[in-house]
Amino acid sequence: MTRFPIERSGDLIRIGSRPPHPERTALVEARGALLLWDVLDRSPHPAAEIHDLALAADWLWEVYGPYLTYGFELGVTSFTTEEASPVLDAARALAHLHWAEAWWPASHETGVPALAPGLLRAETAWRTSAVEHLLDDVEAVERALTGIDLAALTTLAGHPILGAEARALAASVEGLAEDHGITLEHEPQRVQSDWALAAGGSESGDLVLASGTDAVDWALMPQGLADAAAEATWTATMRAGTLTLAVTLPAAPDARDLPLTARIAGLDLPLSLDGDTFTGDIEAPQGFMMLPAADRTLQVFAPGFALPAPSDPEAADRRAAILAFAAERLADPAASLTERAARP
Amino acid sequence: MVQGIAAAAAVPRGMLIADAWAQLGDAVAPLSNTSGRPLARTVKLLLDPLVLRPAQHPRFAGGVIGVEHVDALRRAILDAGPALAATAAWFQLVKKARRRAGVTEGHPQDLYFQRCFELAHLHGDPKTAPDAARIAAETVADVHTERGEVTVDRLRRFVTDPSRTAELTGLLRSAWERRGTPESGTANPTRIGPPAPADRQSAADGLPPHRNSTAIVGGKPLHGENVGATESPRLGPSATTDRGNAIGRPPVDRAPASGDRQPLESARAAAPNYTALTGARGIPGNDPDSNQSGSPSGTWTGSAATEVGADNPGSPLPGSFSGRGHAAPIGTARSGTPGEAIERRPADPAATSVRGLVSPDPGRGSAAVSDGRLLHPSSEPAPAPDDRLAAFLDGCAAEPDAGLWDALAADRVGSIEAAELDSPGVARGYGLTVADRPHRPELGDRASKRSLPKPFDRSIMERLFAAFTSVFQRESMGDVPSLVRGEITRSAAPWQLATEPGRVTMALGRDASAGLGEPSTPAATSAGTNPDIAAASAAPGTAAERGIAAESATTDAAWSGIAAASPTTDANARLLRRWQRESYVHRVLRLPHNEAAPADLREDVRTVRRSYLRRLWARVHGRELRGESTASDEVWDLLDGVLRSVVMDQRDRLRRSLERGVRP
Repeated sequence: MTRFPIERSGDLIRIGSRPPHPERTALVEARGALLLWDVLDRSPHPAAEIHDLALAADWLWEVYGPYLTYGFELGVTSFTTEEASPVLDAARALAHLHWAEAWWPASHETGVPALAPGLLRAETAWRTSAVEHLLDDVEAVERALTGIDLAALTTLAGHPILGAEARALAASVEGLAEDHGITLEHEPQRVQSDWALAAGGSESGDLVLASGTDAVDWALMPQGLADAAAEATWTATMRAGTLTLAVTLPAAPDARDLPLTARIAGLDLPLSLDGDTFTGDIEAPQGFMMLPAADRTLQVFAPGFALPAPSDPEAADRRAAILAFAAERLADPAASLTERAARP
Repeated sequence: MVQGIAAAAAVPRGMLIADAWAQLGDAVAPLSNTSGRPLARTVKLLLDPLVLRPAQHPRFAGGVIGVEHVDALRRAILDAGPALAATAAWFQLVKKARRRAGVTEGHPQDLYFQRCFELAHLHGDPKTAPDAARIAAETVADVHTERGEVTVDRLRRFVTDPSRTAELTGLLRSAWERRGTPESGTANPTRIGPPAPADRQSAADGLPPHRNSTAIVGGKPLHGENVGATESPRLGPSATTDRGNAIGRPPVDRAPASGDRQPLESARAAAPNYTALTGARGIPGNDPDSNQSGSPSGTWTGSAATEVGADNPGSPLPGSFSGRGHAAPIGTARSGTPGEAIERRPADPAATSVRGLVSPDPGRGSAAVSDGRLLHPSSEPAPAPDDRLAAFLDGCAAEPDAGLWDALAADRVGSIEAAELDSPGVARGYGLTVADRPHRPELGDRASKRSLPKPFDRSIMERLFAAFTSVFQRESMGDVPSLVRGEITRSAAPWQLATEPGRVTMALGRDASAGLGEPSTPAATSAGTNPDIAAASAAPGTAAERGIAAESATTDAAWSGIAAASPTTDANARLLRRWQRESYVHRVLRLPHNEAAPADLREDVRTVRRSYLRRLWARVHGRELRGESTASDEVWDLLDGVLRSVVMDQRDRLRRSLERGVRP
């Protein structure tokens, strides 16, 4: 049973409230409303922001049961529902896949493997089709199908336990594609790189003068670059008479080779993927060593994605909770095929 | 599930439909999604226009259904069960035939749903039809053939044929020459007030009359009422001998009014394609601004009358309205209510400064007078078209006012509002051209999807190319010569569109999109590191340009819009809210932050209103080419769908920037 406050402000009706952070938010953009699940909250029912009740009334009953609409008319300020329906489940599953695409915390350090992107896309398309009748985007299914590579499912098709499910998904997606006039790819899957643990550390023979470690704000970079649990490390080294500043950041499993930038003490270091670590170094002014420790904090961001920002002191706790949630999903038989297939 | 709430006053329509649909069982599975609900397209293309027909049965319209009609609605669906089951079976067969024929073009549901419904009525269940497989194959071939009739190749050959160049160039020149003269009316619709009844419908648009007339489709005249609105040009062989309901098709009708607000025109004919109706994008991966992703998208599987000069191909300007009616100078009309013109659009500096000719630039008013248009100062008090545009925008989402919609077209409000486009910088400010003022387009001899200019800068060739490479409804267009001549006429007309409803739609879109992409803080004008924007801000330009250039380039303020722009109408408020939601959705989906995104993507956000108006123009243009009328209850879907389409394309581009690696 879920109990929600109902609040009206202007043209907006809120059922419950937005999850506290984007990184905890699983979203479905429905016709006339946003549906928002907090992934750390186990309630099956989402919060909703209804911006067009006339449109949303058509499907709201599938999510909250048939009485909510009357509640609006009566001006109630809270609402309780036990509604369970396949459509609610499907919407939640879709929202979860959207969340996973954006925020899945792949991490060597905590043993959270990367999700297979091709599989994730195929499953998302399939879930999208289950709730297409309530989505805002009238071409959501076509959009989700576009660019899917069914070869991503062939590896899994031979899996002893998940194989049947993978084959069924492939068949379903193929049928969907035909219904929507989309041609799917069947390219051979890119060979995934072997996972190896991050090497890190400074080269021997150099004199390490100072070093430090800072948390990384994962909202400042796309999903799947940095290890979700790792911190970035800077090292100031005297090497052949030059002060060199090096930054290392452990990469996520199957990390994409996209540029990152580390900013420390006003210096920007481009980082690039080297094995399982994003690294970069730069010659530092001698004055670097004189700076107070507070001025030597490290921020890592993806250029073109976000501007550097100081990290939120509460971010570490939130991140730990999400990592724990992901680990739990990997062991959950009710989790998505994509998550179960990633299980080591 | 219905029983449990029978005591209440009304039941959600979607719930009743789902309930009745479930009783139809597996036979309709091909028309259902995996949750067992009718597909969105099933509702839009079959249930609404062909089964429930809320326009004829208002009790089935709206988001909720009175309890007293619950049983009737359920019965209507259950009664249609056998027909729907047969439709589903035909659809499976047709899909199989399509596969065998190797056809991949178009959206099968859009293309075949209503055809299959017809087949179900003509032949019943395909299992009992002796040559079902042949019929299915013919259906696919039929659709496919019709699509190929007008090809880019033929267009190019026609336009570049040396023996025609002189004639076509002459037509183009004379169309634009007349445009500048006060009596032509095409560009200077200075007439305010209702036109003379005789020319009201279409003569002034250079078009064949839209209704109660003869239209020509594929060279054959179609007689009958509402040819464009309710008849399909291709109902199959049996239909051509006996059009209308006699073939056993159920009567079709117009879409539900309010409530679900996905208006449909009649059946296949004018209720064509779900995608286009609901305003989704066209083909993925196409040019962002123009037709490709935005423009007349999808497959309008029907609609007969090609308006574009179809019945008068030899006369490029059949009846440009030559001085009939009242020629009230727009400057006089406007300057009568200067305060109003200014106050009504606080959110839209471009509009405020230029469109009303109540210009903050003292030079411009005289320019307007000196260009020879203000010939007949009228002593009549001019109507206030602006107010009616605003009034329509206030109601179009929830309760569209059909009478007002008709009046806006009849009084040529769209044409009147187009006058501002000839003032320096205005059309550019709307993203419709890069030139200071619209100029006569080239005839053109080439076109490329990748490099389509802004709508008003496109050659005649490019305009037509854009319309029929990005969409799949060529079957409803006229033949190449009349398309080209019609396009020449159109290019010289107000908004460079041929029909008054289309022009009114542009004026509505312009007003409804006011404030999109504008910053909430003028301080953001500094424009940060974007040299383009800095240059734009520094360059001397019209007030319109400056207004747009002042938009933020540096912060998410560009998303908020709302703080800067207090919405002028309900439709404006709704569009601004969609835009504002987008900022939040981006964070949730972990898309690049606007302030850090690559310059071209930031520019997308900043100039969203221009993209919006370009895409709206392309959609309206496509609708005109297909001869589709726009009803009052379709306008909001068009206006809202265009923004959704622009926004979704921006997301796609952001995603692609993530995939290739984001670099500032």
